[in-house]
Amino acid sequence: MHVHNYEKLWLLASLALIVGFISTIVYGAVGAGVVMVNDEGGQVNASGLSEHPEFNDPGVRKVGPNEYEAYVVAQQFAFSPDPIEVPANSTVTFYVTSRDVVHGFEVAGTNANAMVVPGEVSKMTVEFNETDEYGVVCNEYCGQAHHDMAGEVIVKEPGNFTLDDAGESTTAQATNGTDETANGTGES
Amino acid sequence: MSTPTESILNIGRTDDETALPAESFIVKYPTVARVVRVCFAYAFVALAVGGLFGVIQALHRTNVIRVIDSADYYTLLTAHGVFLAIVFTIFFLAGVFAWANTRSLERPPLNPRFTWLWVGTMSAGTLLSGGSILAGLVAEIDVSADVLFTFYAPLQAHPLFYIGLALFVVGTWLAGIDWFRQYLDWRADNPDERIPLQSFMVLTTMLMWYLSTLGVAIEVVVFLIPWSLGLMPAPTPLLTRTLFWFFGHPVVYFWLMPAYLMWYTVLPKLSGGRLFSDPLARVVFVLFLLLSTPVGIHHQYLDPGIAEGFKFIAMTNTMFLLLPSLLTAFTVVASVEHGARQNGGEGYFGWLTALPWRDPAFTGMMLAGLMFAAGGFSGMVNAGMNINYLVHNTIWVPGHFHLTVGTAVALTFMAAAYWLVPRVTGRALYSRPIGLFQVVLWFIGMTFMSAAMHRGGLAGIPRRTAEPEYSKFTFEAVVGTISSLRLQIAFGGVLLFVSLVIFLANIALTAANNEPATGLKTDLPPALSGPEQSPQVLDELKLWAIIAIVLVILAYSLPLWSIINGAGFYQDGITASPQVVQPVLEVLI
Amino acid sequence: MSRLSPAALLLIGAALVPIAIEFPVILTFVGIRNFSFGLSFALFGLVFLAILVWSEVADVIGSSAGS
Repeated sequence: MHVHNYEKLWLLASLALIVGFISTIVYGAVGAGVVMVNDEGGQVNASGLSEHPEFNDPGVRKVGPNEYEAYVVAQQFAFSPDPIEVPANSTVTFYVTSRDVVHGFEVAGTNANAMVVPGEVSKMTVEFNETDEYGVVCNEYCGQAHHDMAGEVIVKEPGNFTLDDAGESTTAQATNGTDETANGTGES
Repeated sequence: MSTPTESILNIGRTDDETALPAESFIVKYPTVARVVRVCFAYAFVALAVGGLFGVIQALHRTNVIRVIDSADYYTLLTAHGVFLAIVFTIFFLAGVFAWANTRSLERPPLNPRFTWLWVGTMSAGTLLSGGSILAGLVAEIDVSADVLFTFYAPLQAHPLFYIGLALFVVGTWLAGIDWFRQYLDWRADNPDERIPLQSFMVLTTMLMWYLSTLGVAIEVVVFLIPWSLGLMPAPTPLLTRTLFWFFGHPVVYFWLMPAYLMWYTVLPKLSGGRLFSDPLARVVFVLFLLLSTPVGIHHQYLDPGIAEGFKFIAMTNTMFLLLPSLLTAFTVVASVEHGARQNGGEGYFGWLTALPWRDPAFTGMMLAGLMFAAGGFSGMVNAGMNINYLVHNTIWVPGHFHLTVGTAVALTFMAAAYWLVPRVTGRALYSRPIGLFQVVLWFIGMTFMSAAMHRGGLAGIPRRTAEPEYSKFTFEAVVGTISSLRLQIAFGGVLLFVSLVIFLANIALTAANNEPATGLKTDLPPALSGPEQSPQVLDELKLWAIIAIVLVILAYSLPLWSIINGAGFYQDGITASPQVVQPVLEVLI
Repeated sequence: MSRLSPAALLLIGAALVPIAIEFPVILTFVGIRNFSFGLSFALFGLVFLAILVWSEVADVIGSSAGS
């Protein structure tokens, strides 16, 4: 088969580019420790969340020093709890599921982002380094009032944070950061 | 010939075909020319409706002008997606493929009745699905299908929507059979010849389509139709999502392949040259057949219930899909440069001035290719498993695919129409300068809209939402302000709509033009490196089809098995028992 | 006598649009932030105007100088 020399060069450069792209992703997963949402969250019965030991009472729980778990239920057209309050300098593992249709759980401006599929639990671990307020957006069309579905993550001073606060509403108007203080990490 | 579509068959037919050269397509294959005209008519009507809804959305979500209720936004969004991404693209593809297969095999389809059967099936499907979407805007009719283009459970549409989709896909399958029969007929007469390039492209694309539509066929026929009719319980959402994306990514290559066919076989001629390499063109289409389908899970990087390893396999396959497009970039530019040098172009870049930039067909395809390069790289960001987390389901994604399907495909189709419509109507293009202005305007409009969408996505603004303004928080742009981005989206959307209206008017005036088309005699020139230089194995369609099937089995069997094992076929662990099938039995007995 | 045809001006104008849009981004790499899109468009509008004037006028000046 006749292949022009320039064509061969281009082919090799293309393959190098592709391998390069794949290596950056492998580095992101292995080196930087960015973990995907995967099948670790397991399955739940979407119509029986009220009998579930954790999702019957969505909220934040402390599971270790600076380690928290947040159980979040998405449904048309709200997240529960809202706002989700966590302390700064903590590692929070989110478990998110849906009561009805497919939703999204996106901490706006960060890479903390997951699909929320009824029957499945999306598990993701996020590090919160500084106090901040983030918007949470449902980014998957879920019905006629989809555009009203939003929540908040409030990262508080560790001194001001008590678990009893979780679930109470705050009056602060949030300005979310576009810096990436919230990052998926390998610690799970 | 008496068919239900008789009334629109005569759109743009010349008054006096005897005035045209005997070798022209329309004189040699009048029936196929009719088929192409009917397919284009459907495509352009869908383009008009979808485009109108597009500009309404662009103005609505940027809060510039709101003429509809936000709850109706999603009805328009569904129509925009289905009319443009399914009806416009695939009807246009059917027209291009019917033309290309007939032209390159030099024979019409065996049985015109069969040809009209697939046109009719696709039409019926379009009317059912399209009608059920638009019925959502009329409160009096209890039919709606506000499920968006991504029609997976648990959001449910009216059964007519799913039945229409199924009919439409069956129509495309019949069309493929028609083209394969044409090929087999040619093969019987030419046992030792290489498959003509355009026919090769049609056949490999259709093989890819048969393989990839299996997913959506199972989703729609086995799960969604029985569920929407109330005969079966709700299917597992993750299962229907996975089956949808099994089809949902290869469909983008189904849109793209007719554009590639034009870039490989018509664009070199327009530039005054010849295709650089026939063998490489065949390699590219074989790669698309092999790699288009086992990548769908890259739309599900953020889905729970799918192990990271399966996502990784989809990611590597996706990255290798970059290869055929990079090869295409080389071959197309090399062919065009060859053409420019034939016209007397010189120097490293000076040859660019020796190209027919005044020809809207040429300029349109070149601009489409240029934007596809940008779209390809934003696509690589989407494909990058971990970077994807920053942009998934943000407005970055529509920014990306308005460069690919919205420009690489749509602008190429519009440019191709300026060249093809005179060939299937026998009428001269109404205005080339207006055509040139139109394709450049599309480029400018898309530059505004798409760039701003990508930036909005980086700030986290979600896609597919009527009002991306929230009471509790605001978005913050990396460069510029969110309000300037919104203005750019709205402005770009308006330019695109104006461009679309100009295009449709130019085509309508062409269809009514009494001046006969000229230059119809010219045939497509052969490639510089001809098919005789490519290995025979490239034409072994059976072999490539089998390898493609094996790759799909490797990529999909384990993920599907683990989903079925974990969540089951039906939601909440319900097993479809005979009691659920009872209503069917009652009807039957 | 124009040096550039209307079609050439159209294509040059179109090519300036993406440059104008990306210009503020390029400036951030050299540390200039908050260069607004509006300013960028105004700047490249002037560039286009300059090209237009050059296209229309340059030949006239050239011919008058020669006479």
